[in-house]
Amino acid sequence: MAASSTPSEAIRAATFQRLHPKTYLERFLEENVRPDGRDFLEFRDCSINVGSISTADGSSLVRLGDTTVVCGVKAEIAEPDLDAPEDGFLVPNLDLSPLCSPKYKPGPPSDDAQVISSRLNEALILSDILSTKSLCIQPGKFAWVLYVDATCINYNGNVFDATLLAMVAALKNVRLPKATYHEETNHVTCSRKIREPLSLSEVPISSSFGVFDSLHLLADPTAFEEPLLETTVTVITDSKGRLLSTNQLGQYLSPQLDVLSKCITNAQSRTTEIMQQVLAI
Amino acid sequence: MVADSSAHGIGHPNQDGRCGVTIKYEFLSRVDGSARFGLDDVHVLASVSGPIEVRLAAENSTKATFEVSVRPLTSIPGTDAKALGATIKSLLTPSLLLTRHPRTLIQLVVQPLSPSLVGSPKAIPSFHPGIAAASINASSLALMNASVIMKGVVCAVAVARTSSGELILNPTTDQLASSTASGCFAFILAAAESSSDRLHVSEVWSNWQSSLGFDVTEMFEAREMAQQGARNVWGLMKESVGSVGVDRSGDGEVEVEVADRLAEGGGDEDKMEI
Repeated sequence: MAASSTPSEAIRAATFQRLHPKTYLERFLEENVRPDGRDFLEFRDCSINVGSISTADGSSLVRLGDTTVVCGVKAEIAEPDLDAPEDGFLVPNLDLSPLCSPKYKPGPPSDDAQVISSRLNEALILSDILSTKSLCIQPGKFAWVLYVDATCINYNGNVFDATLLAMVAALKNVRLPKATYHEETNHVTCSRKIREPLSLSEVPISSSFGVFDSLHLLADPTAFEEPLLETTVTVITDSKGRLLSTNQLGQYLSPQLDVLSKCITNAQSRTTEIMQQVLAI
Repeated sequence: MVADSSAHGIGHPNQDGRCGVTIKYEFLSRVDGSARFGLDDVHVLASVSGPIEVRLAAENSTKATFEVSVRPLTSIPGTDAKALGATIKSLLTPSLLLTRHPRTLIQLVVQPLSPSLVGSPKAIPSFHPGIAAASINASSLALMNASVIMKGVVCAVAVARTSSGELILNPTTDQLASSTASGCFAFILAAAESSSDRLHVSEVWSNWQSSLGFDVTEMFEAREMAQQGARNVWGLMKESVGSVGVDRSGDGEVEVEVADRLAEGGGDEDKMEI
């Protein structure tokens, strides 16, 4: 036993992780470290790359540790709604295909994808990132529809944070052709040469946390940690760190641990870091 | 309904938390438990079936599978209904003893009976904290009505901040539409074993959002307020269990439904015998 070689040790550790995920994580946390070597409140490294999809009007690729999300923005012209003649549309969507994780099966969008898409929509509306009025070409006749489609390439937890960042980066990357309305012909023509960026106001940045065993607060949980958490906390702030939304879901039993205030402080310092990367786009 | 609640003082809903609250056990005939919860102008109906047979793909060998589906008032369920369903599922799960019924399914269906927020520029159209709170309360009542074993009762309340910066408990749809911040808070309440009048309260959901930004202290104030509101809701739920079938929407009018139902049932049995 004592003289066993390193590969078999690794296999045994992997087996133990599969069979007793909770104990596996507990053993690590007892030593004050997480399975991937991070501190409890440390986020994974993040990289943002924009403009890699040339056929889209704006695109981005975000990596948060191993979690990878690609986002493309496609602009189309449509007729505005009758009750909102001056508003265009912003339609965010996230696709979790079987490519990213065996958790997801081919077919109609999974519950997770629908839930995350709905939360992304809420976050974008809440931060007022893009006024739908600015997408109007001719009131009551023509307006831009922006389809913000994100696809997860590699699922390793915290897809919400990664996708929101990818959507923000892609929207910042959008260059819309200049559209002019001709009254005589009732047509819209788009310029081939002049392309303009969107007028974005505030940028939402989200930070997610989880509570394990009512004791440990973990930032930016991985796919392995996510199902073991009893409480999840998501804090959304704007670029200046002002709070827009807090959401804490699940029961935690120790009243000594003031989870929410701790999460908010960490989220605000994280926003400052991420904003440096976002502004560099 | 609106006229009825205004008679109970719609302007001061936070005085005792009981103005305009309707709790009604509907006794839908094909499900195991059902209840309707209403607060002022927001009403939600919930039904529970279970433990029933589970689809093989969803079967869990150590505990019951718990499914929540939210049916919106208009059109087909969209992503927002799915999101509310997922939230309700994860906040009710800690209160349920699902290990008592392994390899079965407990199915909860939530049907809001009031429209969501419409035409308010600052509000998020898909999320109405009042409907979310009423949905959670109706779900808890339906689970109790279906005799699903629980550790505690989940009670929820909505809180909003008016444009003048004042926090209000149980805002009406109109107040929500003009609010600058709003949220929903849910707690598990359980009577302590030692002394019957003390309550164990633990938070299961806190959600607070504003497009104008907010302060941490404000959110904690809202949570404090919500906890008191949840205690009031718990009190009303407890009363309703004591008088199953009594409609408390009216001004003290008591309508005993159980007796009627039992009489009807007896009649049917007689017919069967003939």
